[in-house]
Amino acid sequence: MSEILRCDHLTKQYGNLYALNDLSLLIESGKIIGLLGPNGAGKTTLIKIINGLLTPSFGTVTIEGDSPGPKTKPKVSYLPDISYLNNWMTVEQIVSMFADFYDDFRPELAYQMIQNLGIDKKMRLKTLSKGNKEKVCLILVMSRNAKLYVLDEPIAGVDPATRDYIISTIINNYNPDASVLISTHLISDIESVLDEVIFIKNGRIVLHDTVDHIREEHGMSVDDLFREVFRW
Amino acid sequence: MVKKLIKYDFASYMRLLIPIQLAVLGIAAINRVVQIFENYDNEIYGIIFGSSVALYVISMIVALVLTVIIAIVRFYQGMYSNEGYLSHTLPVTPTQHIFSKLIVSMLFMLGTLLTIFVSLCIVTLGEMNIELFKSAGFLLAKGFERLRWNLPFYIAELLALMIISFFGGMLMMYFCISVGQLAKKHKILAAVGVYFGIYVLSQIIGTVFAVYISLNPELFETLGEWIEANTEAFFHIVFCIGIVLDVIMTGVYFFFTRLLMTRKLNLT
Amino acid sequence: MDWMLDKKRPICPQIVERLCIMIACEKIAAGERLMSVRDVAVKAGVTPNTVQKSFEQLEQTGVIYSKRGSGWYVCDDIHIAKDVLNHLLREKTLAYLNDMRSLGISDEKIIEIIKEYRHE
Repeated sequence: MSEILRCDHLTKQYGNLYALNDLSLLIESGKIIGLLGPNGAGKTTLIKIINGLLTPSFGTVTIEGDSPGPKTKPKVSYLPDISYLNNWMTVEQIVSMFADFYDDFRPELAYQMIQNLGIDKKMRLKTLSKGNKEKVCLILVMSRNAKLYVLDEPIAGVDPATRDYIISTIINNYNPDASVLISTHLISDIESVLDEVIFIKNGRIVLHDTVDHIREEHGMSVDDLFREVFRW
Repeated sequence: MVKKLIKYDFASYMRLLIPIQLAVLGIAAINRVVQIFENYDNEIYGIIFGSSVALYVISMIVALVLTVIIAIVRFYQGMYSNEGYLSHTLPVTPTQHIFSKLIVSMLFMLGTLLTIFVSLCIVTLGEMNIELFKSAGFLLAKGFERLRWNLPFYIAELLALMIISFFGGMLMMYFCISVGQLAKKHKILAAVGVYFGIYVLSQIIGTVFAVYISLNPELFETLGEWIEANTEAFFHIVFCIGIVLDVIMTGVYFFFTRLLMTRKLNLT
Repeated sequence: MDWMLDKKRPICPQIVERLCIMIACEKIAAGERLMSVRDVAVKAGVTPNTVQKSFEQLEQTGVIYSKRGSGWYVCDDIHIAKDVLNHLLREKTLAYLNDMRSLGISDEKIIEIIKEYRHE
């Protein structure tokens, strides 16, 4: 088991507002981890910093010892919660693009999953239904052989069948050398798939524990505990 | 890596610019066809001919302007909009991104210029074509007569200046956009503000320079005399200073744009 | 995703239980190869780590054993699995009986009710 992600006193300030406040965190390999918190808690800020889309005000973040940059980008596979791909491209073109830029991308795997869903690879992204678009984006991200997968709200806004598909895909692609960080506020759907959960509130970590330990100690599901911790 | 980026940037520009090129060529073709019905006595013909020529000229200007605007917009979209999430998570450095976008905008500028050239040939298809090339040849011969073997150097310097200015101009836009991103709200407005700021600054420097020279009439006279005696050298010096200044400014803009992208990236 | 796990209890013990039941009821025969960790994880909708832990626990208690490169197999002696099943049956039955008794229903009535509804 090795160290995949480490954050040390990570802080992100916007004027007087602290999006992240002295946040320290360690994620080891082979774990599926939930980053749970209400909107505005700092989940997306943390994720953007991990991916080098934001620079921290103080503190450090390293992926396998390197700061976010050209060394880490080949190791991190990111699924943003927004539509970030060119809509005019076809599924085929996007798969080629990923294959072009990422050495660890496995196009055969991607095509297999796309075929299983009955999606025609010649279709343009903009003609796909919302559910299918989300699935394609997830397939692209999971078809990489990365060290850290970062999924920002992968199951929000999709129907339950798609949700199940997404969760199965995450399980199926499990790799003991890699870790998956899933940021979500839909906890009850996903808590069984998580090894550990991190509760984040006002830019700080309030809890980082295994799911089983939480259930054992508190006698309730993670979802129930979350509601308690984040009660107004 | 840059080659791969260029491939994909090229594809996205193409979708936008091909219709424009086709439009210019199409309007040129229409012009040529209209010319066939030449009848300057007919009022209606006069109106149609006049409009088609105007349309053609407008289309050329629009094509050039759009080529530049699209280059700027693609930079903004690619680096700072939703697409930025893709661009900045690819295993590519900001330097490579900037190079790729610059090269592709240059290629398309050349493409648009080539289209304009071809459209001119279309419009003047027939005898006029020959006239056109004859005049071009004539100009070239005159230049050769006056400048002897220095002509190629002049042309090379002119081309270098044009290319460097283009890169400098593009990078200045990239710089303005990147600085604009530092603002909390109205980032595009801030970019425009930076652009005006640079413009005003350059005007001030130019005016100070001019005032200094005009306040020193002897300097002005000496300068004038020297220019008359060494006209060719003067032009060379002006070109070279222009090129050097452009190279410096290009370097400065590149350096800061890259710095902002690496240190101060703030995607929302 | 059709294992219907209780969200309030830790996952690992539930997986262990479920597998024991499957073995005790001979849904997986003695000596037969189990589904891979990953397949169980997908079916149950849980992380492979948890399934791995469950398998290791089952190995420790002697219900299954692993063959390197080949996978996990059910031990020939399944009495431990049967013990687990019996324990679970006892727990659930006692809980049911307690519930019914607290409603004031006699034991004979309970048996009648079960006979009446068992075919539904």
